[in-house]
Amino acid sequence: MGNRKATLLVLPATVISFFVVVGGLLAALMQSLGLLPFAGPPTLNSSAYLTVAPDLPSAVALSFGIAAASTLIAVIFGFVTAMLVMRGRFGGRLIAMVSTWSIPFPHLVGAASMGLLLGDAGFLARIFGTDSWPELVGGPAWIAVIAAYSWKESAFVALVVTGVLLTRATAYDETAALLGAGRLRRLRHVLVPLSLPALGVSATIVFVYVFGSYEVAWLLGRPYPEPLPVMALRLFSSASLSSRPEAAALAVVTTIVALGAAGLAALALRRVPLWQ
Amino acid sequence: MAVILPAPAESRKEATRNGLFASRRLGRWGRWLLVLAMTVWFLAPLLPLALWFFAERWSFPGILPQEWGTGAVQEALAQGAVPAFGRSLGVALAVMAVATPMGLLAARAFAFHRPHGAGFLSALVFAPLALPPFAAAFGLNVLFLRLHLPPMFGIVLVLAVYALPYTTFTLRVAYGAYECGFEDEARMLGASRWRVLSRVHLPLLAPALMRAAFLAFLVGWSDYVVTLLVGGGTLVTVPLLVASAAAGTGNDAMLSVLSVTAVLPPLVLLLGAAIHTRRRLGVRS
Amino acid sequence: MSATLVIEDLITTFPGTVRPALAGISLEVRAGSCTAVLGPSGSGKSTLLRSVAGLEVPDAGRVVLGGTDLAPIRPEQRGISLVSQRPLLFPHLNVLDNVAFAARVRGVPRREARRDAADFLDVVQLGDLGNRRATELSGGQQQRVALARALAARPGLLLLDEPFSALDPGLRTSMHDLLAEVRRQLSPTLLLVTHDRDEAVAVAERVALLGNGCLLQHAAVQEIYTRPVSLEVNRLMGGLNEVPGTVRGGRHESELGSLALPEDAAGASGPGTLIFRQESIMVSGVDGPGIPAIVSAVKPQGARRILTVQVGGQLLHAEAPWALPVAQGTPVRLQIPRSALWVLPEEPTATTTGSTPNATGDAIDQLVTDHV
Repeated sequence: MGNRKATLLVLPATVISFFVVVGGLLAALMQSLGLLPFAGPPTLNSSAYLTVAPDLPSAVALSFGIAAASTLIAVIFGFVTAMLVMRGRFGGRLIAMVSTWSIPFPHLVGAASMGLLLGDAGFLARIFGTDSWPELVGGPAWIAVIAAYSWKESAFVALVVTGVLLTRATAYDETAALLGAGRLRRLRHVLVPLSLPALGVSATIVFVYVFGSYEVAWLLGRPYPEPLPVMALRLFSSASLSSRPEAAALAVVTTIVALGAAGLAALALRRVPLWQ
Repeated sequence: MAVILPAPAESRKEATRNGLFASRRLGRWGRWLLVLAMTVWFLAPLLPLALWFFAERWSFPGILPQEWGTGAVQEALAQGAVPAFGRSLGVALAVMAVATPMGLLAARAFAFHRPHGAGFLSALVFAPLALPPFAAAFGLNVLFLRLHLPPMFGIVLVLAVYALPYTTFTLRVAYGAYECGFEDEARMLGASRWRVLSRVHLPLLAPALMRAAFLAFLVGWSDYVVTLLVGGGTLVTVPLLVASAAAGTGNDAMLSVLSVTAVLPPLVLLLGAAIHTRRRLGVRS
Repeated sequence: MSATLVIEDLITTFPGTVRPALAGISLEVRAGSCTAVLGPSGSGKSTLLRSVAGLEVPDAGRVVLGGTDLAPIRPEQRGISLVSQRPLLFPHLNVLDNVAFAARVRGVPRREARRDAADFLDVVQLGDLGNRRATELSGGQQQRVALARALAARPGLLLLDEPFSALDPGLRTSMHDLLAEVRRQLSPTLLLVTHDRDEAVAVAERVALLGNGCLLQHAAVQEIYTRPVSLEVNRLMGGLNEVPGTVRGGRHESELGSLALPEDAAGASGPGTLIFRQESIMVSGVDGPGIPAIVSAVKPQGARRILTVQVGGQLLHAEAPWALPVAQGTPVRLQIPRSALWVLPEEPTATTTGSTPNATGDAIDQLVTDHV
């Protein structure tokens, strides 16, 4: 009885999720295998995958690199922010306020702002002089892209970690201090382990999001080599009909890597000494 | 779309004059340096945006605009900023209207009952967190075309699914801390089932509902890729205008006007929520 | 590992409040002894402990442990451990590593720290639970582990902040026995905060009574019960009898007649309030010896009953066993041992003279409301 009611309650959410997640993925998969052509009879073939195969290693590596670097910076800056917010007082309140600012920024707008800041005619280039200004936007190191992602996501990580720490960390911090642990020891033996689950979950969400995200890399990146989503969208909107299955093949590959990363992270998180 | 709201101010217990946090010489300088560095990190990208907004002419390498003005606003209006704003608002409100109640129902089911296949169902609801939106949009683009669904419908449907993890999670956490005793107490005092829902249940959940609704709004408001792919470019929202302005060169002033337009509504909602919370707390204490 | 604690004129004020939480407390706890800090809610008990630990920064005064002024020393270097009402075991460590925490953060190798921790787990009789997750333990077991963890830090002073108040009565009693055993084995200096008089008596040899941030009296257990320095102390310790009268020539004259005072109570002549514990009155039937009285109310209290009796115009309270057949209106006789008498030069206040049986419930709670 209770079970049937429960099923009715989750039904609306799961039906539309099922349609979008499973339906969308199946359609993309069929498209990539030539089963949903724009014109002509459907034929099962792997030519789309074979066509994109040569570009895949560099695209996957690039997307992976951007996502890993952005996640690392976001986690470090986010944790530092959370620690400062936790200390309270004026500095903590200030940091809590300014980190909230990036939350309503759409990623695209964050990227545009980062372009205005870091571009070769950007605000920093104007301040520090033009001659030696490095190629941050569209450069080989993808610095503006990584900066835009980690700028927005560090605030996200900070919020998740403060949400977990604020309620319990002070009592544990005091307990550890009275057991003789100094500041650094408390950080290493108490605050980091307590934040680890929150850091792990938020890092996974950030990594998977950045890996499959398009607009920031498209706006601030360089034309070649391309990250997976950028290549996929270029093929998707290109004029030739044969490029649609190739775009779908890239979408399938991106999804597999993203889901794989999320799965691995879930397994790893299960081994972290969690609480409740 | 990794977004989340700050924890409500009431849970922030200030550690005043705690002996542990008493600053000592080097520690104090180090902490202030860190505070300064993080403040610069979070605020730096906002500065050129604000300067460009009021720049009539700002040619390189001037550190400040040579002429101030609001001509860029006219340009942005000419690009169709007003109708785009309306369309964005429509999408965001529709996503909010779909994802919040559905998230509420799902959260209640996960919190208080154990539906059949709870693991699979929650995996389904939270799957969008790990699913690149462009990948889902590729496949759905074909499906929607074959089913002859209007683009607005498809966009809202996909974005609502992408908002569901956030609304469901927020409300699930709220139900986790929810004290069923209040409902029992109200029933014992003679309140009917519907009275309990409207007078006890929803008011107790109101803060979490507001957070969930804001997150859903933000997902709909910020989206670029789904609107572009599922709508096929027919539905021009503010992010699409920002993208085309950012892809071009030489219109940085208009880009900043459009960017500010894209940030303002969620920012106003965020500030409104913060002020509301503070006022409510002020009344209570 | 134990050291003498000396607190001198400690004043702590919370920001934004006018009245200090601690208004000049002076207290000495001898090495290896146990003092219970007793007082109503909001009297500053926990603030006193947190100020000694260094978690609160006092405005003035000194805290000296083993001859060292603690003011410039950080909480983590004071050699003070604290066990509070919540066990606060680290959720990311198992039971053994929780107990080994202090050694680990001092740089002791893991193996050695764990061996040492196992000994302390044995002291609290949980030697076989070392590998369990902290969350798998019951509340009483968690509190034992918290105690072992605090002891393993080899503190010069162990602070206990209502450590057993979340446990049920049976468990609490066994924790008192455990604490006695710990004191026998390790003899740490103990400062225990509690709101429970019985717990204070069961665990400590001295009691420090706080009220409104002031130290009202610090004395041995028996002394604070029978020789309170003020009516307030008497009431906070649960004393119910206050008889106004006059002291003259070593005797107290009142409605009860002329009673010979013990030597230490026979001070200067003049007005004085006679006090004695309700437990020390012996009640007998009408043919027994002593002062004649009439029972005006009977209130059960556990294994005994509290009688309200009337002697002339004076109401008294006395404990009596269930075996004594009394009801409202029964005439009885009262005997009060001379050694139980004590005189204070204060006048009793109107609210508590002739108090009703309701006041017996919890004199402390009653007084909190009076003060507020």
